[in-house]
Amino acid sequence: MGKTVLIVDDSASIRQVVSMTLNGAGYDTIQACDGKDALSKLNGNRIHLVISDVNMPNMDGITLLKELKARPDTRFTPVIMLTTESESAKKEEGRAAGAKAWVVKPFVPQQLLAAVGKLIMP
Amino acid sequence: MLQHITEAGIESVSPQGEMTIYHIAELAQAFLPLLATDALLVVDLKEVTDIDSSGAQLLMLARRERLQAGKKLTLVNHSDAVISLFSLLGLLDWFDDPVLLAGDA
Amino acid sequence: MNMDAALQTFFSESRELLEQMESLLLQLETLDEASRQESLHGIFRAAHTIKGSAGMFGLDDVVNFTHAVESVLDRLRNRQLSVSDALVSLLLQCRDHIAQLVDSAEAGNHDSTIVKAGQPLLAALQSYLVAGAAAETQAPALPVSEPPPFERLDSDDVASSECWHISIRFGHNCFRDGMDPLSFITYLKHLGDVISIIPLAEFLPTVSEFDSESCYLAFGIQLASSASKQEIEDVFEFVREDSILHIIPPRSRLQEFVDLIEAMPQVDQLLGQMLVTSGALTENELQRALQLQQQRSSSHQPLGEIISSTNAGIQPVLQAALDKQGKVRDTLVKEQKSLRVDAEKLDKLINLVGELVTAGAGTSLLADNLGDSALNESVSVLNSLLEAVRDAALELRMIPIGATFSRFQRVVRDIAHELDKEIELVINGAETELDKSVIEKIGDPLTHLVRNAIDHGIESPAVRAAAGKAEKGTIILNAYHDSGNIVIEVSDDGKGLDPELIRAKAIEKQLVDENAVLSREEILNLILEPGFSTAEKVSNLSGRGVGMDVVKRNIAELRGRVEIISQVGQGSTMRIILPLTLAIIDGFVIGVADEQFVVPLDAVLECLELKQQPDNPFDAPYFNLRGQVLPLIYLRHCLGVEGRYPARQNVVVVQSGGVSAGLVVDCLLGEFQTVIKPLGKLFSKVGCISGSTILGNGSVALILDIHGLINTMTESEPQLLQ
Repeated sequence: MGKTVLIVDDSASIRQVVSMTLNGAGYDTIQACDGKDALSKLNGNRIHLVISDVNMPNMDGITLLKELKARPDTRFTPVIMLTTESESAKKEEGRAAGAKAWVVKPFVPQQLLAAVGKLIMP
Repeated sequence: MLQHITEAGIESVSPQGEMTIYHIAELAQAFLPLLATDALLVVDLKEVTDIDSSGAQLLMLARRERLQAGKKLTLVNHSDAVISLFSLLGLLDWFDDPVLLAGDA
Repeated sequence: MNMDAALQTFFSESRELLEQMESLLLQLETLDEASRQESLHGIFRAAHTIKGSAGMFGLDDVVNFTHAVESVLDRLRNRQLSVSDALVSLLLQCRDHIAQLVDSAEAGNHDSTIVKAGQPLLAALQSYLVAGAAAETQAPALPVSEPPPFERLDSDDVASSECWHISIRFGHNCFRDGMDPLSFITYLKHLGDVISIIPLAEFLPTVSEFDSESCYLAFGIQLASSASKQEIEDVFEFVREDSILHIIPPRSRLQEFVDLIEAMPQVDQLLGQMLVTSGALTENELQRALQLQQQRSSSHQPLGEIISSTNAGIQPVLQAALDKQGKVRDTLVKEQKSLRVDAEKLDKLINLVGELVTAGAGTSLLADNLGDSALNESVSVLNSLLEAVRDAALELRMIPIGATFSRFQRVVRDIAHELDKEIELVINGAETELDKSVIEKIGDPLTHLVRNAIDHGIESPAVRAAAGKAEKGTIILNAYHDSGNIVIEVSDDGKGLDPELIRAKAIEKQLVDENAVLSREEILNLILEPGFSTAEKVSNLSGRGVGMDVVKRNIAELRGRVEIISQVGQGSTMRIILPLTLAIIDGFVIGVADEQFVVPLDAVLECLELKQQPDNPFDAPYFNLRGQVLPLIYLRHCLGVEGRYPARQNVVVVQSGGVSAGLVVDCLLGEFQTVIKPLGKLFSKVGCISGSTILGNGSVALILDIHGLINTMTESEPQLLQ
């Protein structure tokens, strides 16, 4: 049984590349374009990992993280936050909200795969 | 969640389905009070479909608690999920219960 | 779906974002504050997304340029910059440039002219970034590290006995953060083989305290891997903060770290930095150790101790690092041990200390007059401290003569070799300290003396053997303190000075008259005269007759003198006698009529009352001091002091250069710390006064130059002093 990763980013191309990379490594993926979209796609699906951009329209990554921590079905789901180093203030906010795993953008797919691998097995 | 049978002086406990962090609190609540029994405690793991470190931790605590009280806790019928986790975390040796490995059967 | 499809998505997505960016930029200036802020967020996000996506496809040109734009936009939305017409124009140009870069990427060519066209824009953007943000811009966020070294997966080159030992205790919130220890341990397999893993139950609490959602797990792991310590630590990067992690390298690695440390350049480095550089310690471990050190700052625990207590097995590497640091520091310390201070500052300090001493003496006097015992006691404490300060201040200028002496080892060896002589140099009293300025000036005279000793003093081995002496000659350099003076001697066990030869030579050179009556001492002193040389043939080392007179002059400049002691066939000793310090002396104050004078206390032997008229009172008076003839010097006459005679007179017995004399004075006023103020040039010819000082009561007193005084007397009554 493959594990499912929810990819949340407002950039379709990032979603595509991340998705391709993870699929190639044996993970199943679901894509969402912002926090709200992500929450709507949780229904009924068992999500093993969320990869979320921080800066997104509608609902940003930090808010999404807080929402996920508040839901019984996702409260223990690991979340990887994608960030740029210019968002250090955001990082602090995320830290406070319980985000432990950060991957700094831009990254090459292998780096992200390594980060995912540390958190869940395929 | 947890099947519990008492028979011929043996308490047999059988966790059902997932022993993961999502269910661990509930499971612990049902399981931990049983540790006080004076009977032989057997945990049957054949119905465990998924287990993570929190599940392993609960079993470790149970074993240690029983040992400290001078009582036994035996794990039997390890499911594949349990065997896989135990071998990865070095718990097969730690628990040292006989394990029937798939393929040996 | 393949990568090309994703790339196409990127291009169309980028164009959309760029269009969005353009329209937002164009209306920016017309908006009110709130909506403007919203637009700015939108513009930032557009640039941000383009940069992030471009990075994934390795479009570095787009990333680099967009990064700069993003930085400026970030400052805009954070209100660190305000919206201006010029800035909006610039950003629009930048937008167009990004579009060009994206087009160029789509066309599949890396066109350097387009990149170059962006340079002026980058420079313009730079001007909107303050200095603090500049560094970030200069180092655009490129995909820095290479992908993890997956090729090491199956690496077999590590013997299984050579294992990393990893001990990790996970943080309590590990499960709640969605982290399963299992996944990290599983991931370790990417780096090598997990040889063994031992779960540790020690941290499991009692059942009543147990929270099933908290993590109490800890593991000891043996990993066979060729990965670096940093790579292993990185596996745990997401749980690193809350966990306790120890990574102990395999023994072979330790040796590697040790080797690396030993190979480091001879530069003073911080201990932690050396360990991190070698790979024995990760940056994180160092930070923790430093934090611990700060927390325990009250106990001043050395970093090394903390590191070794928190990083088991690191000892050998730590030792190597400490040794290395020690070695480097040692060389540095040797260079830094002495502090270069402007001599003028030092002189100023010593001068001030001198004034202080004078003021102290004044206070002491006043306190005496008041007769308040508490005040007296306090002043005496103060004065003893002042004395200590004076000594310390003077000591600042004092350096041992050893370094100057040992320079001669080489000189002696080289010259002896050149002349086919065998000479041993013996150094005594190297620790004797003298004023730095004296040491600087003593070097040349000493060199002359040593060269002379080798050249003229020590005979060739054959001659020595014939004379029944050891073939190997000896030159002794000696320094010691003697009654307020410092004495430096250069002795040799050579042939000695022959007075007859010197006399003959002096007559030949017309330095003295043929019929002159000269004492032995005077004859020996002739070699110090200009134009004198005793060498039978002129060697290229010395003997050109320009040596000894220079020595004499140099020493005289230091207020010192040269004595020559020599026995034919036995050897000679050149003795340089110098005043110990040039600034402050312990003085003995005497009074003659209304005048007060200071005699250097070191020169004073004893004081007596002059109870009777001296023998031979008018022409060369002397005094019978316990059966010895003590010539008397009437200061009153000698210095032309006028005034009433006292009822009783005193004799101060002084000594200089082995000659004693009695100074006849009116009264004895006791010891006094004397700051020597040099006399003006006008008085430089006055033989018996060496300086002046200010007494505690503010009056001026002259300091007597005992040597000069005795000499003055000697000139008039030579026979008495012989």
